[in-house]
Amino acid sequence: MKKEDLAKAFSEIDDKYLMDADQYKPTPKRIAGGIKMLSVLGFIVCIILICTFLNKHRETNENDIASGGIKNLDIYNTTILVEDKYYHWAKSEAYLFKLPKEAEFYGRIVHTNANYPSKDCEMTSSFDVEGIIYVDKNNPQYIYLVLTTEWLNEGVIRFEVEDN
Amino acid sequence: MDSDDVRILKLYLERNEAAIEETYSKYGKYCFSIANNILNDSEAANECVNDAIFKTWSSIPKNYPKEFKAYLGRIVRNAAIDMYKKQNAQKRKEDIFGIALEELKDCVTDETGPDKEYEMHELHKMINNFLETLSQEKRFIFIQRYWYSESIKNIADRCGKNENYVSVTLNRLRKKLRRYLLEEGIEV
Repeated sequence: MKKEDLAKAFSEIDDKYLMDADQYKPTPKRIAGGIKMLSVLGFIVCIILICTFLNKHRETNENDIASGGIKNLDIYNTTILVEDKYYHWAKSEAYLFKLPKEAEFYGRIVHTNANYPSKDCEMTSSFDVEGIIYVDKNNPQYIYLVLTTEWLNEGVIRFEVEDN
Repeated sequence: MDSDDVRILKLYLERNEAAIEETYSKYGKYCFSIANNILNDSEAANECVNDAIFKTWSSIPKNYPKEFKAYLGRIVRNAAIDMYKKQNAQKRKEDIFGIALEELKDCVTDETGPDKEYEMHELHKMINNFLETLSQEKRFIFIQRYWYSESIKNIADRCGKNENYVSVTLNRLRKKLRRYLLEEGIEV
C-alpha cells in the first residue's frame, strides 16, 4: 500500500470522530495545575488535621491517666503527710504503671476530711480514697501511693514533696 | 449538526445559491485552512476551496450529510490531496503534508497491492475501528496530524502539551496502526 493511499483513506474517517476532534477541549494547564495544587493542599490539610487529632487524643489520654480519667477533680490539692513531710500529687508523670523497684511499704492511707493532714499517713482529698504508701529511702523527694478511688483501681501514683 | 447547518443544507436542497454564500461565510476559513495545510499555497488552496464548494453544490441533492462540516471538510481534503499530487515533487518534502505523508511510511510498505479497490474499502473500516480504540486525546492528535495536516507545534498548543509529547505520541500511534492493520489482515 502506498502512503498516499493511506493518507487518502484518512479522508473517510467517520464524521463522529471528526466532530469529536473538532470539539475536543483539553484541560487547561493552569486549571490542571490548580487542581493538582489544590489536591496537594487538601492532602497537607488532611495530614495536619489527622496529626492534630492524634496529638490531642494522646494529650487527653495522658491527662486522663494523670487524673485517673476524671476531669474537673481537684487532684493536685490532694496532700498526704509522711515522715513529717507533706506530699502532693505530682503534676507530671504522676501515674506509673508499676511501683519502682526501690519502693518499700510504709503504711496504709488514712483519709481525712480536714483541710490539711496532721498525722502520719493522713491524706486529705476532695474524693474518697484508700490505699498503701510506699517510700524510696534513696529518693525522699517522692513517695508512691497505690490508690483505689471511685475512678481508680490500685493505680500507682507518684507524690512529690512540698516545696518549703 | 447545528441549526445553521440544517438551514444551509435546506438551501442546498432547494437549489438556492445563497447556500454557497452561507457556506463561504461559515466554513470558508475552515476549508481554506484544510487545503492550505496540504498545499502550502494560498492561491491553490483558494482554488481548491472553490472546487470543493462546487462539488458540494453538485453532490447535496444526492446526499444528505449527517455532519455538514465534516462532509465539506472531507471534500476539500480530497480535492487538496488530488491537487497536491499534481504539484512539484521537490516542493512536497518541505511542507507539512509532505512530512506527514513521509511519516506514514512507518505504517505501509509503499507498494500497491493486487486488489486496490477492495483494500481501500477495508482500510476505511479498519481506520475507523482503530480510532475507536484510542483515547479522545490521542484521537485528537492523530486526526489533527493526518486529517488536518497540522504542524506538531499547532497540535501541541491546541492540546496543551509540549511538542516532544506530540511527536512521541504520533510515533507510537503510527506503530500501533501498522500492527493493527497487519493483525486485521490488511496488506501494508
